Amino acid sequence: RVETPLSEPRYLYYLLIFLCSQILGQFLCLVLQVPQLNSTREETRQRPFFFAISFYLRAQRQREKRMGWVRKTVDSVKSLQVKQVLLRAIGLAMVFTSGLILWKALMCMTGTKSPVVVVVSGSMEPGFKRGDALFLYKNKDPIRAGDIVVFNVKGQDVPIVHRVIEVRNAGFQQLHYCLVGKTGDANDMDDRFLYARGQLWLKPQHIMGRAVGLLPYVGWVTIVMTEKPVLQYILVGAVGLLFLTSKD
Amino acid sequence: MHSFWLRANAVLTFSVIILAFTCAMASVSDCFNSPSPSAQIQITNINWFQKQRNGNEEVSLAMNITADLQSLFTWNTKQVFVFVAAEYKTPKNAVNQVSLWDAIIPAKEQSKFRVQTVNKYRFIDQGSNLRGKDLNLTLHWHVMPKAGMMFADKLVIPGYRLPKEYR
Repeated sequence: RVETPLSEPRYLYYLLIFLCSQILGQFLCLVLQVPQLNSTREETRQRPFFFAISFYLRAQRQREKRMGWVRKTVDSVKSLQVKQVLLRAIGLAMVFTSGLILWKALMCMTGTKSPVVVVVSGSMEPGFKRGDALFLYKNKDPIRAGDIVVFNVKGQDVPIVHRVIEVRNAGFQQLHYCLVGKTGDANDMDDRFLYARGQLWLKPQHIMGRAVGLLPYVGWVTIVMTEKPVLQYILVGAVGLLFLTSKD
Repeated sequence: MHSFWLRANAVLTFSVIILAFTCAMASVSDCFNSPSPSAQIQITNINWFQKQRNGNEEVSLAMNITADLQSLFTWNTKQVFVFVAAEYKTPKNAVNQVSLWDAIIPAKEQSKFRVQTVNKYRFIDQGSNLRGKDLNLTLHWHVMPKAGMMFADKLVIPGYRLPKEYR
């Protein structure tokens, strides 16, 4: 199946969802920031507390030296108001939807389901080391010998990056490519032993895309988080906590 | 705006943006390089040319490959992957490309070379169409950068012909 980006209704739905979520988010932020009716009373209530707050802060500084920042974070979490938390959550959701739509737009432009992949094995050394990020691109151009392709084998969810060493094109119109990649630049064997049983060639539907660009070392974050999933939860939890409890 | 974590966050974001910009500029600088490589390939000998039991023909050739790829290297080049492919047409397949030999050139000093070799990968046809077949031997090169876009190009050298009988 050849994808036609930007004209498929699926992408229009995503764009519509994104616009609606942005409008809703902005509206909710406006509503929540409208000052309340008894705001003047709150201001007059704050002044007598001013001295109490300064004593409290001094005592707290001494406590901090003994107990550290964990106690400070717990105190700041307790002092949050619902309105602030809601505002923060909406801001976070808006950033999240923008990121998601950016990713979908990138999928649209590059024609592949994963525009960026991380090299996990060392089979393409010294060209691609473990931890490099590859940018993929897929269009109607035929795959030719020497292209570095990322492909999926049925039954395995980790895609493989190899270089094509043989191309056979059966028929001018059929776009029926058969290729075999060598097991990375470091080896001299063809990689048919990695395919599904009985499969001798890679067809266009197996190919995710051609590698066109490279960024070294940035993939290590993904590798570390995939191999130790607990780190993902820690990272997301820490970022969420910091975002919700920061002063502004 | 003065807590440790906010400052760390700002520093980290800024450094990531600057690094991404540097990589993009490094890649853009590659566009200003206009390479002019040259190459020659000679088939010195057809070692053998047989038909296998399953009907596919196989050829083994010895080649002399001379090339000067020095102009492909820039400061952003990690290595150049060079390979020789045999390209021909058959009634069954419009395009056949078979890679015969490849090498990795890690530095500019080794990019002017002369190699005498037998084909590294087996040259097997789908069927038996190779007798008397006209071939193009193409030298392809893939410039792999330290960061950024990869470039690939080729030099087509036509005019080779396989023998009409098996040896």
